[in-house]
Parts: sequence; C-alpha cells; structure tokens
Amino acid sequence: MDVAGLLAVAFAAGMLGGMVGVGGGVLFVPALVVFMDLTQLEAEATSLVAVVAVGAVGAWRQHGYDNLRLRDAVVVGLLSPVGVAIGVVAANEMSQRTLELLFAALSLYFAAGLARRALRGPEQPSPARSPR
Amino acid sequence: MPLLILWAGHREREATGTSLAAIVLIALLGVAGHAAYGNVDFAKGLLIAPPAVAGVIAGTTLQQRVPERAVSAVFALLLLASAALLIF
Repeated sequence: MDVAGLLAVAFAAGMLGGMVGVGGGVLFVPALVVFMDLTQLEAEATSLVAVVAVGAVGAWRQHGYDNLRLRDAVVVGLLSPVGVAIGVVAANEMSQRTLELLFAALSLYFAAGLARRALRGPEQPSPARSPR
Repeated sequence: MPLLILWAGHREREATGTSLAAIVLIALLGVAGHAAYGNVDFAKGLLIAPPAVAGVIAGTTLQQRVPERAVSAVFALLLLASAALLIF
C-alpha cells in the first residue's frame, strides 16, 4: 500500500478531469490497482466514488467560466441508466484479464485523443472567443 | 464530450462542464450498481476524493492559463504508460 503515490495520482486525475471534462477514472483505476492492491473490478467500482466528486466540483467550476449547459447534462444523465446497468453486469461477468484489456484499450483511446490535442495547430483563444 | 460537441453543437470548453455534470449522474448510478455487487471500497474511494477535488480546482484554473497542448501531451504519455502496465 502506498498512500502518497495514490494521493499524487488522484490529484493528477482531478486535474485531467477538470481540464478535459472526464471523471478521472482512467487514472484513478490504475492507481487503485497499483497502490492499493485492489482488483481491476474493485478499482473500477471504487473509482466511481471519486468520479462523483470530480464531476460535481468540475461542473461547478466550469459553470463559473460559463462552460456548462445543465439541461443537456441532465438529458445525457437521464439517458444513461440502461447503459450503466449493462456495464455493471458485464463487468461482473467477464474475466479479470478481459476487463484489464478493455480498460487498456480505453486508456489508449484517451491517450490518442489527448495526443491529437497536443499535436494540432495553434492554441485556441480564451473562452470569450466567438462561437465556431 | 465528443457526443456533446458533435450532436449538441457545444464548443469544446462548453462541453467540458456539461460532460462533467452528466458524469456525476452516470457515476452515481455506477456506484449504486457496483455497491449491490459488493465491489465498492468506500473508504478508499473517499480517500482519493479530496486530492482529486484539489486537482480539479487546479485543473480548471490552469485550463484558462496554461498551454493546453503541453498538458495534453503529458497526460497522453501518462495514459500510454498506464495502458502498457495493464497489457504487460
């Protein structure tokens, strides 16, 4: 168990969440596996507790920058229960190795998205810019 | 995020906040579902929440001030390392 390592990655995951608009789970999960010896399934389930906190605080902070459309968020949230239920059941049915490989694929997908951001043209101006 | 940008016509930063708000609802449902299977270690989840929240506040503040491309590159490398750890 390495609490300091876990807390450091949790901070980084929160930063990623706040900046990119994800819950941070993509970093919480490996941190919980590596530093807390949780299984992949336990780590994915446990990470969601922190994802709730990251999402709530991140949305509140982004609201301050006028980057939140609450109505659209509620619509997406209300459409999700069936997908979440399928995901929870599937995660509990599949093997640990399959879950690890699927999570690795998700990490690579996020990495590719971030790499595209890093490699694209000039910096975007501030949020006050005119809409595209 | 991509869904909000493509289908709901959000600007990228606007989608960031909207995506985070939707994630709250989705993660709450996920916690409830996984808790029913006994997979959630609430103590460890609550342990990582405070530094994560501090990270969010730092991240949203920095998002407005630091070069987004540099930060994206750092996180892309972090995720590549994490994926490699899982695969091998």
